[in-house]
Amino acid sequence: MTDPRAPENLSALLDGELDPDEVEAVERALREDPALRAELHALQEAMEFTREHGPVEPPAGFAERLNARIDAELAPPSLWERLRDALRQLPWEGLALAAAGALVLFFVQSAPKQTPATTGGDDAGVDAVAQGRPELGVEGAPALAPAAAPSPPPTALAQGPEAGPAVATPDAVAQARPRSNPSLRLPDPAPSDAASESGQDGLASAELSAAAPADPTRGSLGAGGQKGLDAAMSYRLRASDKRVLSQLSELARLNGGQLIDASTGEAMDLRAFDSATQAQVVMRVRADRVTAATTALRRLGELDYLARRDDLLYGSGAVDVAIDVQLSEGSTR
Amino acid sequence: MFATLLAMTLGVTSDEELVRRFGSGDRSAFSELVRRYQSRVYSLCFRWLRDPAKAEEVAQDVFIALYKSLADFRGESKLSTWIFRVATNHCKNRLVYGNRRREDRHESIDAPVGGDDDGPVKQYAIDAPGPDASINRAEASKLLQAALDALDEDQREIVLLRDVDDLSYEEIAELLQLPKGTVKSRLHRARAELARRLSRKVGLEDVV
Repeated sequence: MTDPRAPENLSALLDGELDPDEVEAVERALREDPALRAELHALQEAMEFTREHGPVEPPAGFAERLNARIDAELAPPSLWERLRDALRQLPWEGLALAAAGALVLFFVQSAPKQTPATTGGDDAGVDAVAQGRPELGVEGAPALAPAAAPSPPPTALAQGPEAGPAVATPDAVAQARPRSNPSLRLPDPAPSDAASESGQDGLASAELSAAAPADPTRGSLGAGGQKGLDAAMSYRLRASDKRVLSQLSELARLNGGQLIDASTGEAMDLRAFDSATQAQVVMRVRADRVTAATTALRRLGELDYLARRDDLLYGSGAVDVAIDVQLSEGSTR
Repeated sequence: MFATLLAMTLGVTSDEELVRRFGSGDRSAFSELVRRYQSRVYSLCFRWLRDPAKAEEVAQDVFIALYKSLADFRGESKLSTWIFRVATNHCKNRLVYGNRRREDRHESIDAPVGGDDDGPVKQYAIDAPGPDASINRAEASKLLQAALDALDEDQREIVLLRDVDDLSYEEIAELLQLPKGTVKSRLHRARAELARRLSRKVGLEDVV
């Protein structure tokens, strides 16, 4: 047996970790040595104080938020999500172009020769881009606004709720036109700064370059060094606490970007919002992640919840999204 | 009546049984594990990170790691040991990450003025404990946090595992991969240091 006066035996005695023989020996030593008793007393107080005040209950809703995160990040995709992913793999641009070609060919061939040409179709193309996008559903903010003066506009076709696959990008149109049907008389598309500068898949860029800021004052928020993409989308979120900002930051990160403090132009420091009741931030995401980020923002606005991770990863390039975050007074934590 | 019986049954269900049920597709088994461990994991995270939001985030990360790994858990060590090992590692990593980003600059309540270890301790709310002094629970929690922060990392770790998370010496030895005798002596030194730090601030018997 170890020395009954060895200090470590006092802690072990308190923890019930000594054999009966050791307990008897230590207790005998304690009876004979007041200093040892004082030491034991101090240890016992520290131990009880730690056990009394050390545990901290998790915040209300901890388990619910955990389950929601698991659902979002780990649960297998639903049938609809698998179907949607499969649809995303289809060559929508090619199909859209083929449909556009067939439609134009039909009108060209069926139109009376003496009918003068009209230019109304150009505006219709812009409207299709602007109107085909559903409202984002985030509190207080419109989704995409029409372009201020796209001249001439890119050709656009009817599109589904997710918009992306059915939009015919200017570059794609320019490339496909001579091969598909030399007799087509499509308007020359305006050069897409975003697509040409970034060299990326022009889908998201075309959507954005066809749109203008909903609020002109936001124009400076989304600069991000990418001409033509300035504040192309803006959202207004009402944040009950700083957690939403954390989610936005995570959302940006998952989409290959970061959250930027609009007032400084630097990466956002969450602590900077501790005393703020309103904040303007720019969420920079990869250009090809705009649709996914939009979906995520919708969920964030409606459900106060971050989107699924599997919505958020792939592609290259960058787009800035201006976000107006309204923090409730005194709700930061 | 049925609910009571069910609750009693759940109350005695072993971790191993819950792991087996989860492996066969019963997600409620995971929920039971969360219910069983959430307070202890959160407490550990809170005491390491000192911030409720970070503590919740990291505690959730721990359970998500558990969710991902549970189906493959082979029971070579106790589940509780695994959970607290992951939690401790997550917290330490977060602290390293935070320090690198200078996120976690904080001022220790117990830090000596001027950095001199023998210098006077900064005086906060509880600076003159006496027979009539009393502090509330929130203050006691802060006081404990300051004393924990003043311990070195190994000491803080072992005190948290033993006195906050209530792990046995055997579990701590397995978790830290230390001989049981080392656990015993390190825990004693940590408690003795903690007692010294706490007694400098307030008479423990005055805490209400």
